[in-house]
Amino acid sequence: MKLRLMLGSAALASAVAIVQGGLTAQAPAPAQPQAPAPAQGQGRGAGGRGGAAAAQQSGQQAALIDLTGYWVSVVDEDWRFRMMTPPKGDYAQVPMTPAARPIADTFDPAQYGGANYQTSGIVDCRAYGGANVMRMPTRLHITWDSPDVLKIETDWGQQTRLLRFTRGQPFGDMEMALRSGEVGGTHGPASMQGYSAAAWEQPFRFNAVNYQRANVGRGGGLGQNRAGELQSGGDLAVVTTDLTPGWLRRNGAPYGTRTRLIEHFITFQDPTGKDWFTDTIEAIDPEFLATPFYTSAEFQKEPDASKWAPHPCKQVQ
Amino acid sequence: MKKLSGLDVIGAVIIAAAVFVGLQPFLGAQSLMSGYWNPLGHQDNYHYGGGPDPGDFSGLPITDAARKAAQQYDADEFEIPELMCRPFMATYAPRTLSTMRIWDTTDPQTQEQTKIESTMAFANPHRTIWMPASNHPYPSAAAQHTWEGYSTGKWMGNVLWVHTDHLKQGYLQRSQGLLLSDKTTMDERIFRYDNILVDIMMISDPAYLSRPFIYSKLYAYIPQGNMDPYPCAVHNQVPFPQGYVPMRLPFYTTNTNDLFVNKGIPLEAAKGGEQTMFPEYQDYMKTLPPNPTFQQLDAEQRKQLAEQTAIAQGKDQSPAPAPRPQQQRQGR
Repeated sequence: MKLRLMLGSAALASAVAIVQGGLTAQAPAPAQPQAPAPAQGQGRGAGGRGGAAAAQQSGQQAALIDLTGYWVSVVDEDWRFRMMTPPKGDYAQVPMTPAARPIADTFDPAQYGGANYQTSGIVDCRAYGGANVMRMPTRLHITWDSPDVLKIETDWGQQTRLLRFTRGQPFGDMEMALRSGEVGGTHGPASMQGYSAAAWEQPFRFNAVNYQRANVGRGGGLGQNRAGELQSGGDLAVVTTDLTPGWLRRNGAPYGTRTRLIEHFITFQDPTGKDWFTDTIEAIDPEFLATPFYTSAEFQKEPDASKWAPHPCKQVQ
Repeated sequence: MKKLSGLDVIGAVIIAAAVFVGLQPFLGAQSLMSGYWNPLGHQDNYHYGGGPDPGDFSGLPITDAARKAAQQYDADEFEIPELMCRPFMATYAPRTLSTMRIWDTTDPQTQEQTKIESTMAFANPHRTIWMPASNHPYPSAAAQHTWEGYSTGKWMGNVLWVHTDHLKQGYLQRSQGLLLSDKTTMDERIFRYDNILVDIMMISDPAYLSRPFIYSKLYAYIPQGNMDPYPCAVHNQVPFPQGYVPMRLPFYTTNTNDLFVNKGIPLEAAKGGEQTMFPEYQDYMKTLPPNPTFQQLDAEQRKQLAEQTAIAQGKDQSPAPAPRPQQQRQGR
């Protein structure tokens, strides 16, 4: 009986140690040097709520990457669709439903410069709606509007996006949150930029731990190598709903009010040391898109606002 | 058989749970990048599906040297037997619309990842990314350059950083003749969210690029993927005279077709260069004159080709050849 109790206790202790190891490994990354270190805890979609420390953390305090500052879009993908207006009726690569085409075909070049509509620079505001604004050639000014709201302003099109963190849930897995219905619902009246829920996504804890095992000491027993590992980096995930109808292209390829966007922002440096971020965008529209529409946009950091040049878009109804 | 007590059951459950929790990292590790990936063709399909139009370099940070070299390019080059089965190089293959397979190797003793390999369906280019645990020796500067180059990688959080050099001279976009020199290097940041893989490629070339060409390629995971072999064989599909090398002589400036003209891209923008990549170029384009009609462009092109043909044949004059623009094939 004593032996059995000892074995049982040892097993319990081992299990606790392993579970603790797992929790430690799941602790959020030490952020970029300038950013405050996030407290332990998980956010939305990851199967748990944050602890007391996380509950007090704002999105700004928990930031895993620094997106603030001035940025410029560098257009080397889909140049002819983004930098200029493609010809009327050219919707290549957009997986439109049959219902979308008649709407897109109502695009009227006469409203946007007539014969020179492709390069007139007259762009309908609907092309700057939430589903396409990050793909438009523009500069961005990103600031913290409040501790839980990251604001993105554009000079071309003069739009403002508000990415809203939930206090106490600064971290999360947005795909999981979408599946569970925790995000993706409606939040009020629709607008051009909609309602954007944001969370910092920590590195894949399981994979990163395994692949970085060489960095930590060897030990016996399961889970030993995971203890104390802190992962760097992470990304910003954003889910946007409540959009008014807009365009996926400057020539009228439409998206509708049921559109949902899933975005991931990741920062990196190029070989010359310049700072960048990439925004990957998944647009889901059961009305006008036959499949999700995946695109991305690259932005390079600028030192100041000296090149900020507001250009209004054209309101056409 | 002895009846199990409650403690036995609790102990067994705890041990099972502990083993499960402990194994999670290793189970999850297999799903990060390994497997089959389908390219998502929603962006730049124009460039990597049918191939971009000859002469359209808009949005590309190319140098004058790259532009001049590309103006000599003739897409019939695809039909030269010596070049027909060229693999896609590491800087190009991931950007094509081709299924990709990724697999990794771990040291059986240490369980550390030693290398990550990939191949693509088209032309089956095989890349190896050596990870730190492999202790693979870095090649000397004099080592052979290859189509896939020499790649080293490391994990930074859940992002795979890859650096590649020792590449052969190849193409930035092969169906346009835009060159990359053998001094080209590539840095990548590869990460996954949900079932989407993102490969941010940063291609640098002191000879033909004025700044790094930065490009994101997105892939979707295929749970039950497969890949056919690609046994490329040389077939003489288009008969050429012995020794014929398809090319355009230097200093001829037109290389456009009707498909390009129909897209409405200003000729000035089509010359490319890094200035075309930034938002303010939209303002500049307002000042550009309308493009000539295709008939006007075609007439100029035929004139230049006639002159070129005369030079090639050692004659002062020769009849104008059949219009070439429509004959030019586009790449894969």
